[in-house]
Amino acid sequence: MKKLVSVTLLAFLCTIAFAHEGMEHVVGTVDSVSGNSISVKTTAGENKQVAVDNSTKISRGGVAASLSDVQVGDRIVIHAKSHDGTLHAAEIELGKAKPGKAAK
Amino acid sequence: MSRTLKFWAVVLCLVAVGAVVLLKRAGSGTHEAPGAVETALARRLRSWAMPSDARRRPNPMQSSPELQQEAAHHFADHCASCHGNDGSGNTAMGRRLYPRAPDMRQEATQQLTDGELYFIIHNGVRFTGMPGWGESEPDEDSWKLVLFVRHLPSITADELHDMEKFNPRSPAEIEEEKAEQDFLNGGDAPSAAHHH
Repeated sequence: MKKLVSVTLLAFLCTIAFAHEGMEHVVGTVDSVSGNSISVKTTAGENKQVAVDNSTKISRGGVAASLSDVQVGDRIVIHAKSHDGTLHAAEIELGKAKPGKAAK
Repeated sequence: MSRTLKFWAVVLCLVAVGAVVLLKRAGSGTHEAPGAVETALARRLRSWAMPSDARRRPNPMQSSPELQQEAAHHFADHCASCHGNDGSGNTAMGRRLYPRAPDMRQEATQQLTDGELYFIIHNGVRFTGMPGWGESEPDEDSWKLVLFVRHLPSITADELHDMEKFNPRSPAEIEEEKAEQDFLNGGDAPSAAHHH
């Protein structure tokens, strides 16, 4: 019981301390892909550039993918960390929906 | 009273006065990390207070990929909030504890015996943020965590990625994750982007 209380208390207190600490979530559609950078039109209407490197995990529908699989129009969710004014993608998830279906 | 006894009585008084002066000046806040002397003294005290037979206990568990994965998931769920999945202690909680959550990949932790690591996990450490997790003996979970602590210096990016699924999440984060998945599956856009 004591363990349960401790775990619950820690879980309650520590919502800001997890692996995704400091991550920005970029959600939108792929506007362009250039070199190691993805331009995203966010659902809020902003344009964001996100850098991709070898440590970036890319997946589509839970299956591992690569930067070459990223298509213009893809729905995309990027968990990125800001460093030196640049967003660096730690994790990229691509939508199952076909490119071209506009995000609402 | 012998001269030696007087000498140590004076030293003890000076140390006590110094401690009071330092405490009054710094308060009981945690913004500043403990100094090198305080850290060394605290570690020495922790070591001194540990029963010697506990220090010598061997780990009854044998490392295997399955056991390491189980321990990693356990660590991600119970320990990573303060220690980080990678054991660096570089988390919002770990950076603010007094003393700071240690970087367990470093020598100060790795040089501890298996028995010492087990004792700390099982019993906790007073006057720190480390709780005692063990409830009864035998405590196989804590011995498995000892093996995982040994593995931390060589943990891979894939292992860290796998652990993220087991980190505790707030209801708001779960909701956000669901909204993002809905969006990826063709649903409406999430209401707003978030930072964590």
